[in-house]
Amino acid sequence: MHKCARCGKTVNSLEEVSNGCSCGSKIFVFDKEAISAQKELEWREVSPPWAGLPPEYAKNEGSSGKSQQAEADVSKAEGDGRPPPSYFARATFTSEDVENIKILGEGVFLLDIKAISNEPLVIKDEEEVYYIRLPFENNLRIVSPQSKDEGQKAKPGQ
Amino acid sequence: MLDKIVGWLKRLFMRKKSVSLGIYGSPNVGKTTLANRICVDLVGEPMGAISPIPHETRVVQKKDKVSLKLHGYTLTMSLLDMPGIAVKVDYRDFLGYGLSKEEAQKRAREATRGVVEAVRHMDKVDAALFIIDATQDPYTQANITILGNMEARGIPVIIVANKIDLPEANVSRVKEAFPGYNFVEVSAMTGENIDKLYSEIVQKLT
Repeated sequence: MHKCARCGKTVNSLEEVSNGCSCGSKIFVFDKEAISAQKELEWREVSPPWAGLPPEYAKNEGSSGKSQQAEADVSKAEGDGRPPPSYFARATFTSEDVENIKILGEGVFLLDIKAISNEPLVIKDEEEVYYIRLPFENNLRIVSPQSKDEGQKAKPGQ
Repeated sequence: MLDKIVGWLKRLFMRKKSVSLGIYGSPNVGKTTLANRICVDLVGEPMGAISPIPHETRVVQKKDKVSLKLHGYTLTMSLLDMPGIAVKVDYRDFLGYGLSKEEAQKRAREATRGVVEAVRHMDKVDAALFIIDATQDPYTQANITILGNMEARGIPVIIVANKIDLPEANVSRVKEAFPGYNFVEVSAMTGENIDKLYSEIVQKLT
């Protein structure tokens, strides 16, 4: 990242550097601090700061007063790195939800602990696709095309 | 083993007046078509709507007092048409049927809830018809897992290979996949072999 030595305008591409600044100057200085700030911003995008929010943020429903306050607090605390509004809708379980695990982002999960101890495991991913783990032990031996060749015919209950 | 004997004795001596018969299977194998066939035959009215779009039945449908009189026996049933059990519900699968993204996502959410309901109802059924589409590969995770669980719970099961009216149906493949079960091949659509199914139900549940 370079700055024009005359007017201080920041340019981001080599093309702009070779063509010269809009003020007519062709002298630029390399801005090391701006690069550090850019890297910090990129890091924030990769590792969302709201991934480690305390549980009370996730428990609030919809647009309740507490949730709005929580959102405002995070916004204030995190500045540009504030979570998108949709995050708070996803980071909560409501009566409408059928899933008991939500994948909020890469490596970020929300778990409904109470539900997953009793219910089939239902996972909703970022693209709103549901995956269901049937809560059964697979205790049925079947004749697969492979095992059939080996003469392993099985009966239920074996 | 002891549990199985106790369960069998309970069923023998504490026989209910009405048997709760669940119709289970994967989506679009013809569960509701079969339920409609049985209900029209025995009650005179269908059970629910059918559709080429998977997961049309998203809540458990129930029809009480379905009486089957055969071979001198009278079997009174509560027939439960279950939502199709799947291990993945992707709303994008519905988009090809003309549904909007919102409609497809709503259907996916309801279908997933239906799967959970169907699983919960396994505690409530006395017996089950497990429907398998004879035109499809029977070796699916859902088929194997559900049948295994029913077996473990001691729920009497009749495997019904459906859609035998279609030329690509392969009944022997289904039969070989799950040997040792009571087995009937039918076409719920045309009614072919439906009497054989009734006979099997009476033999199994009376």
